[in-house]
Amino acid sequence: MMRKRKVYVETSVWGAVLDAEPAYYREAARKLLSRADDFEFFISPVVGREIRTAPPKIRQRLEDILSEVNPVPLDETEEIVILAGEYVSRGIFPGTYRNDALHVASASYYVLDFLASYNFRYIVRVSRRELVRAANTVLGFHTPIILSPEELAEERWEE
Amino acid sequence: MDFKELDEMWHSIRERHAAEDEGLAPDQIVARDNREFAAFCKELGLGHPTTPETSPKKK
Repeated sequence: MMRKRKVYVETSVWGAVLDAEPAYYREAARKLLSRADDFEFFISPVVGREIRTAPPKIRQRLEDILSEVNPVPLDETEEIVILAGEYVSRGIFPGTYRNDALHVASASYYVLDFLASYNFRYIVRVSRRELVRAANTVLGFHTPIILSPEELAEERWEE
Repeated sequence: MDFKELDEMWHSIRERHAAEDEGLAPDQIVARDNREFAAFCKELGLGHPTTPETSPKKK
């Protein structure tokens, strides 16, 4: 039996499940989150905080989706917050987007296989991936594969 | 909702959170985030937040 790949699902992916246009964002996010037989999904307190502070109509719908998909909620630790701070101090993420650093730090700290995100501005970018990998290597942390749902939703592994 | 609108919404929320966290020590952030997240997860029936057995694990 294939092991389930562990996927950190960043907030923007949950948001895309709503009625996001263009439709291919929505469809890829939905397809990924429908593959519970192949993937184990994780969220962190940052995902929870972002969803809780979204406008009420969006928050309610996202909470319904979370309940339906039932991702594994992860604890936050001081090491995660310090690692995120290290990313910021190295200029990988701006301080005004510290949450982005926390998403990546959580997936790194917990040794997850993938971090799925639609944040093309600060997370799903080749330059960020390189910098995160370099920092994690120096600091002794695992680096998850950072990608958008499209790349993961169709992926299959041979036994 | 247009994807760009959603994207802007998340970025705006993140800017707000960064401003709220300004000056907080890591242990204060962790205590607040874990407390609020546990309540959120309970409300949604997701179970209590966990630390997976295999972690923390450095390479």
